Amino acid sequence: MNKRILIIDDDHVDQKMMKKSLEKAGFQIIFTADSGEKGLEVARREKPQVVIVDTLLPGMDGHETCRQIKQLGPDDLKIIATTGAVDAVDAGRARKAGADDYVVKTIDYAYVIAAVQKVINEHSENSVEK
Amino acid sequence: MKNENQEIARLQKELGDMQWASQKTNDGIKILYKDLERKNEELKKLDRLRSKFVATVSHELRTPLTIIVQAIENLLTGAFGPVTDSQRLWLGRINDNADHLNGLLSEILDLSKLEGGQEERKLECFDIGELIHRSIDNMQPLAQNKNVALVLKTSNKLPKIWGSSRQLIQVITNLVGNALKFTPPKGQIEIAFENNESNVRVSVSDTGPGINREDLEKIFDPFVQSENGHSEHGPTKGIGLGLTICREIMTLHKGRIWAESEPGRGSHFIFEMPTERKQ
Repeated sequence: MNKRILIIDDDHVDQKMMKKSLEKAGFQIIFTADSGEKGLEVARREKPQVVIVDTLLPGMDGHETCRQIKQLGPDDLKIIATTGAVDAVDAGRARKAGADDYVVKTIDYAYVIAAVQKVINEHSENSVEK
Repeated sequence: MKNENQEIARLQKELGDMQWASQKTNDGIKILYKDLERKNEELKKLDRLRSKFVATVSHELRTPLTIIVQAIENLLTGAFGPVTDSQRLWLGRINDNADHLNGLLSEILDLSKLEGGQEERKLECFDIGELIHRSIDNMQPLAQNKNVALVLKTSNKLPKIWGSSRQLIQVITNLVGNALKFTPPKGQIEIAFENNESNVRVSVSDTGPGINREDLEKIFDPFVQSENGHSEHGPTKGIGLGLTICREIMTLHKGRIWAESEPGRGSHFIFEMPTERKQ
């Protein structure tokens, strides 16, 4: 699949394993960044279609990163906020910042991958309709 | 009017966001719960494997050990010719250590059976006072060998209780055996029991070195022995499963066991269990 995906996570194990899991699921173009600032830079340069961002980041937090990347666009850019610990306030903030989904990271990242597949499917369906 | 409509739209969006967040949180909690359940299952499976492994290994080790013990006995009886004094001495040492090994294997097997819930328990109604008397009588020769007084202090006649007499004998033997290990010659071990309407309480007190306060809880964990726990022959025999076995047995009997002690002032091991059948 030629969708461009950006992972922003300061936890290098999470970052690496999510990348591997996505590759296993057939995604080939994956970028990574370990901070919101770097993520924004990569997003500007590489123009991903899906961004996975951890809500808890040092420096600029995941919510602010999400908001700024959403502003960069394009309109159909999808953002998935991820978390290690589920929290309703955190979920609400992610929604306000423009996240399209909010999922918990499990040891196999199955739900993160499923969320990526889901937003990509929605994306393709919309494209067909157009 | 326009402002009101805007406010309503804003509130509707806010509500939508809140519903979204609560839905995502619910989903997340369900996922975490499922994940936890799965991990728990895996751990249980690993634990079962471990118990099975331990049981199998100890069982397998026992067979050659039995043959060794039998062979030593045959040699000692002179079945294969006369035995010199020094040969007898060494054969005796081999025999003692084989016995020791056998004891360790029994401890491990007992615990793995109790943990695995495979222990066949014959539940019966029995007189615990009489059972204690019998267990103590059996241990008197050991105590006399060590020049330790084994005293039974009874106040009243104990009621009959429901449980496994075999396991209760094991608890008492373990506790008195421990006390014997740690009590120096000329010391005393006192076994006392009492009961109220619903419980019987048995205590085994010794005049040994006592146990550090911080070790009182830990000594019931597997493979733990008290820092003070050295008999006059250096570190004691056993691998520290005796008390763990006692605790497992007490749990099965809906009772509890604990220790009270101060270094230098001896130790008291106490167990308490219901007299009524509660299983």
